[in-house]
Amino acid sequence: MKPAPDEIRETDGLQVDEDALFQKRSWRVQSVGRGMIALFVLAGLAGFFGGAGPAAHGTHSRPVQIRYPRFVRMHAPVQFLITVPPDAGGAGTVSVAINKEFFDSFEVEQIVPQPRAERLGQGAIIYEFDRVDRADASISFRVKAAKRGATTATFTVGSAEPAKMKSFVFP
Amino acid sequence: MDSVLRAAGIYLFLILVFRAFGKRSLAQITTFDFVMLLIVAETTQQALLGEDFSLTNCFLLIATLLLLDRLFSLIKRRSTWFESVSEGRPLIIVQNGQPLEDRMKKSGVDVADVLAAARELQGLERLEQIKFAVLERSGLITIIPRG
Repeated sequence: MKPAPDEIRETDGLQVDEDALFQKRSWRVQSVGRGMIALFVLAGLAGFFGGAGPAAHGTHSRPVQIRYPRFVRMHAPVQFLITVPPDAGGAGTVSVAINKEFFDSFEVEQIVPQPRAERLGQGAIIYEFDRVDRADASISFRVKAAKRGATTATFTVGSAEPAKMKSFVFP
Repeated sequence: MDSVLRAAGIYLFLILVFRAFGKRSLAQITTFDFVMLLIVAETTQQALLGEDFSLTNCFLLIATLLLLDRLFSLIKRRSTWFESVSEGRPLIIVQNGQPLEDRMKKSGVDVADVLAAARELQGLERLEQIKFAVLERSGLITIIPRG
């Protein structure tokens, strides 16, 4: 309830609704709030909200090296980068199978190099790429997040064990 | 639903941020503050709209923001506590010509701000001519001259 005009505090004749105790508490809460905002910004710098920064990306190293985004922001472009080992895949091609959940969470914008073929597999989409016998050969999937929350991407390169990568999409 | 939640989220975030940084954060607009305000507005606008530039989305966002603002005003009118929490309370920062240093420091106000308000509002020349200077909820400084 609002105070009646005659209930408003007076200081040396000045009718002003100040409250020293409330003000002290308010300053304390404000400084905590500013501290939290500073932490928020630092977390952003560290990459906990996606973009750049040491925490933003993870690397799945065995059996295939895949650099993936740990934290992603909605509609912001990110990249899954597969370094293809020279012994992956069969003669002439290398396949990458990606689970269905990945396509529920991300929209694929660009694949470099272009796959030779795409086909439906068991709960996955399989891309076939022409083989290049170079140690640093890589395949890049540039995607945009389309669904908020935690998601798991499973990439299976050739006959290697599936690589599971967890990402979190911020709104 | 997405637009309504986005608008509500941004509205609440802006209230919290500006409350945390105090009444004076954008109360006295310098040239740089004005530029900051434009940048904040532009950033907010893009996050509000996302990739949807349709008229429907625009109407929905405006309606949500105005409705939230009205709702907050109604709650503030009924509850002193909510009004104090969301907007703060007036604070005396100069009494009988004496600056209340601790209060001024914590509120981010200095004697120069008080003197500027005294010159602007009352045509006063000296601090001793001020009976009260009050930092209002709005972040502005009001001056009551000595009789």
